[in-house]
Amino acid sequence: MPEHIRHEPHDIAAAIATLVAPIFDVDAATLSPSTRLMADLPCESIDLLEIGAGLNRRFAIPVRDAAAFLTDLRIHVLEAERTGEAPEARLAREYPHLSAARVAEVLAAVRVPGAPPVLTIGDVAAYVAWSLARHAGTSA
Amino acid sequence: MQSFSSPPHHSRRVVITGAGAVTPLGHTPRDMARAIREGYSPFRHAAGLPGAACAPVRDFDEAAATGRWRHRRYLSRGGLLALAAALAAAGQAGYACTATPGMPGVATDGDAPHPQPFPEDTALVAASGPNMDVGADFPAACAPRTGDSTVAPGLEHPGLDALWMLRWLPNTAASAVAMRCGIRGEGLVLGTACAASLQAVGEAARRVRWGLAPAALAVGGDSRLSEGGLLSYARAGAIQRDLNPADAAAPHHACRPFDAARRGFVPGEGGAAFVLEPRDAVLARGAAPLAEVLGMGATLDGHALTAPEPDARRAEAAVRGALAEAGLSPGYVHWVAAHGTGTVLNDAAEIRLLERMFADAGHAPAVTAVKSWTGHCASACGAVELAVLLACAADGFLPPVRNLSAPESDRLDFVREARPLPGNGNGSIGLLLNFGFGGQNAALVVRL
Repeated sequence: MPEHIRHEPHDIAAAIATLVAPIFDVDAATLSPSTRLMADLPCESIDLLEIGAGLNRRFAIPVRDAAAFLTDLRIHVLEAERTGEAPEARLAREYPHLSAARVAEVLAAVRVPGAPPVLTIGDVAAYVAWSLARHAGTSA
Repeated sequence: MQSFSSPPHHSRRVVITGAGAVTPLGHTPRDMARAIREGYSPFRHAAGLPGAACAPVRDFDEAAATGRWRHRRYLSRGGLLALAAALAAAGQAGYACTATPGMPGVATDGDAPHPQPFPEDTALVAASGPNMDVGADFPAACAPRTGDSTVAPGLEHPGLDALWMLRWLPNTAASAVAMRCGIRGEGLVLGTACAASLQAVGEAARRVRWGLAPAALAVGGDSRLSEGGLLSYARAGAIQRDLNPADAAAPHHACRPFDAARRGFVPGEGGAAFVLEPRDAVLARGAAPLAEVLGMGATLDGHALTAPEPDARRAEAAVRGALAEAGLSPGYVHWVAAHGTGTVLNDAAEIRLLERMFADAGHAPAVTAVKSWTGHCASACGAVELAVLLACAADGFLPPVRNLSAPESDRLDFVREARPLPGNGNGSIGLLLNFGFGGQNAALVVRL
């Protein structure tokens, strides 16, 4: 069973850092919400699997990898451009846990050719907070 | 793929240029040889199964032995022992294992000053046994349904790593060795039970001998000392489990190959690895071979799922195959490292085989049994035993059979006390034997 935790975004990010640190053999104190998983850490698909399992274990939430790890981000942007939809609207729908400001940042970053994946610990924490709130809402 | 084009009819002499081992006797040749010279017994009461003995590897610092590598957690203990041995063997042969930038190397006694990467198309032949550590993963996986809807049942239990299965796949250790050592030629994983790592050395040597690979790494690593491993042996009636836990000396006398009072094998654990290369190329670069691999033979009994065929006729065929590949007759063999498990059936069949092949023909090679020093290292036993014999040979002696008070045969020259390595000006020719569940027979002929 998950430990009792306070669901403040900052606490969630710290808990994720604690969970992620041993996977990469790094000190959790070196991680922050702005740490980019794929760019600042040697995160591969094998590691996202473990992080997903760890989130499930730690927070007792179902983890949908495509949303939690922004795995189809580029596809969504391309799809939006193909269908004429505003990419911001598409991303807001696919990633309801991200703020409008973060969606704008992500969109700007993904448009830079060759840029590394933008996913941060903060993004994952936002997903967890959103999922916890959603779970609390449905069970209330 | 780079072409490596020796004609297939051209046979090359094959030597061992690097050996690594992590064993109950120690982790360096010096430590292993000294342990045997000083009569050190690694046998202990098995904590997980009262009444049973085991021979654990002590002082194995996983992180230090395998480098700081974040995927280490996907290896079973046997896999970790294999990886540690492979890194040490590669280092001694002068090959770099720094596939990951910033990865600390593994210190060994014989590191070459300027390590190079392994040649393209270097082959990897690994022996793999089953991970039997059910307690580590499955109590969570098979947790009973509680009726609490917030607790996921069975294999959905969140306590499991996403990739827990890697610890159970037979080729995960080989993948780790390939990643860490930078080996990218043909890969084979042998699952031929306790014959596997001796066969791995032989198969690796054949690939070099016949020009199929410019070099090859043979590796084995296995541990069955977990509760699950010990219980599986106990259920099969293969190990003793009636030792008196209050008798601190009992484990030291439990493993007694070829003794009339033998009562079963004692499980050990370990890993060993060897780098095999063409002798001419090794000599040309001024390196000193540790040993030469002359031939390998392997057969199946086709007789029973566990017990050996009582007359060891197919085991004899494996020995004759190995000698034929080596181009030698039985009279050339100076010593035999028998499988010698200390079980009633194995040792009886092996005695028949050795009496027939050697005593009946008037030959008297020295016969030893390394398991009396290391315990039975399961699929890794052949590689571990070869590593121990190399260590003793480097120190000039052949190890005795421990606990041999009443030999079951008076027609075989069992080594009762350490003796100088037998041989002549042409080296010391040895025959190693390993037999496995399922009637797997393997024989390897080496020149030390």
